[in-house]
Amino acid sequence: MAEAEFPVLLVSNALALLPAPILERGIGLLLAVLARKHPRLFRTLAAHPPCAIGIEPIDLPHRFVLRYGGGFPSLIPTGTLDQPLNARVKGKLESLVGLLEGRLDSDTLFFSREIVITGDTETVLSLRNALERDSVDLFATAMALFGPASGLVQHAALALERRLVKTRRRLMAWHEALHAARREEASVAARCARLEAQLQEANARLAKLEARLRRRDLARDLS
Amino acid sequence: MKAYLELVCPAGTPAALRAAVDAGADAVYCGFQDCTNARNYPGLNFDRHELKSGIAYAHARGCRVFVAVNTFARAGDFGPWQRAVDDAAALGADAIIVADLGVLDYAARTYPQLRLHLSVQAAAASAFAIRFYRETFGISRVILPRVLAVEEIAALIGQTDIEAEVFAFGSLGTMVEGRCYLSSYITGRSPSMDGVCAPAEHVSYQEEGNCLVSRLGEVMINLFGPDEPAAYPTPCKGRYLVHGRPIYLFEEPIGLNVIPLLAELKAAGVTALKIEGRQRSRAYVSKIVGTFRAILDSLAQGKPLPAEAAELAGVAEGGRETFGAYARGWR
Repeated sequence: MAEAEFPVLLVSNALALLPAPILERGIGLLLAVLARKHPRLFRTLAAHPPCAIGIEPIDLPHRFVLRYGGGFPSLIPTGTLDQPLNARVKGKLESLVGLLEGRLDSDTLFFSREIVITGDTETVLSLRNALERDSVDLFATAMALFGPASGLVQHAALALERRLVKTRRRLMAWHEALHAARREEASVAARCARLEAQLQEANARLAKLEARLRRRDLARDLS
Repeated sequence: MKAYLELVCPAGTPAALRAAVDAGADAVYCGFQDCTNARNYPGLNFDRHELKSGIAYAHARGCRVFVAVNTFARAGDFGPWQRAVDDAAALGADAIIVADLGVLDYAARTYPQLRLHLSVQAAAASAFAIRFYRETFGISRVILPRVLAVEEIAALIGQTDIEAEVFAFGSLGTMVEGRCYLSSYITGRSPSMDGVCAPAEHVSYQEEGNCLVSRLGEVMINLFGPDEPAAYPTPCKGRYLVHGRPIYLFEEPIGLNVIPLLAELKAAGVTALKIEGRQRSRAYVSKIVGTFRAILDSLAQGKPLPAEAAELAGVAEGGRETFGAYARGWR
């Protein structure tokens, strides 16, 4: 199957809707296919001392716990990451998948704080270096789960992703236009308020002048 | 087309080696998975089989492979360094990068046909030192420490008439290479003997509110504010309390980038440019090597710098770049 860009919008929307048990089942199937395609990676993970890494995609409602070392790895969706963990990795789903597939440079994302790594750095570094040795294509692997229909599903998924991207761009443009209008509205309102204040001040000065004139006229009449 | 300057690129994994070769490296440098090379991080580097395949891949595409055996041998335990030299020679390495006098002597006597490059770890920064290494061990190239100004490099090359390789891009240590013990003072492990500065097992990051705190062992190295770029927890680029004020005592987190100095370096007589970063990903290697390839090819044809030259700041440590000692000398 030809390499295709990971449809991050489609996947993040789908993952957000899926309940944890179904997600867990899907991830289990995905890991089984990955293990067949990348035996060296899974041997390296199995040889590592047992560890647990919390994965925190900030744009998803799910958190995940990756456990490996001593046996077949597991990636379990969870609501919170309050169990004992060796390390945590936090970032947008797009960044996390880019790291997993080796398309993005972890240090660059780390410098810019797009991902945050806390806890045992050695464990995360070992995992990063193990992934670096294998070119994991998560999308192609997920598509392989659909068997003979994989080509059709991939085509549909990428078409849907393009639509989602277009829709998001349009929404962002509208959002920006609305903000711009609000900024404009706000600036007109502020100008009106300034003019109103100036008008009130001018009225007050006029009233004083009129009072002074009246007093002068009265004094003249009396004299 | 005649090469403007030779491009020597990092490979921490076989995947990074392929990325470097495919992106246009003239040569790739890498090391074995042990204490014999100065980037001995967990999961990094090559086993013997991987190096054999990597060399075959590179040679098939006209790219040379240099093997770094550039730490200093432990007293009474020369075995790993001897095996590293033997295996690099047997596997067809185009050169080995060496710093230790004993390893240099062993390699020069045992494999007189094998090119020897003097590692930056040897910190040879004077004509006397470079001539000594050349006359004694027959080194073909010196990798100059990052403590010299361009004029000093030109003078050294003029006095020694030797191939000189200089660092062009990447993380920047502020100490003299091979002589820095800041990390060992904190962790007990030495960059020069164990191949690791700020070893990962001693490094931790913690979020404190919106801030990120880095520690090396028990020593707090830095606290990054909410909008500040993060950095490696190397002691030479830590922010310490001095008279109650947090300041960068030695150097700020910043990356080296000599693109605007390439013409000066060429005029100084430099032979090769080295890209730092065997610990970085294949995505980084691909981007940096591809960009430098485009730049060097443009310069070779007398064309202006391509637009990609301006796109590298984002990958630098701390998100900022410097000319280091090339412009201002060593402080």
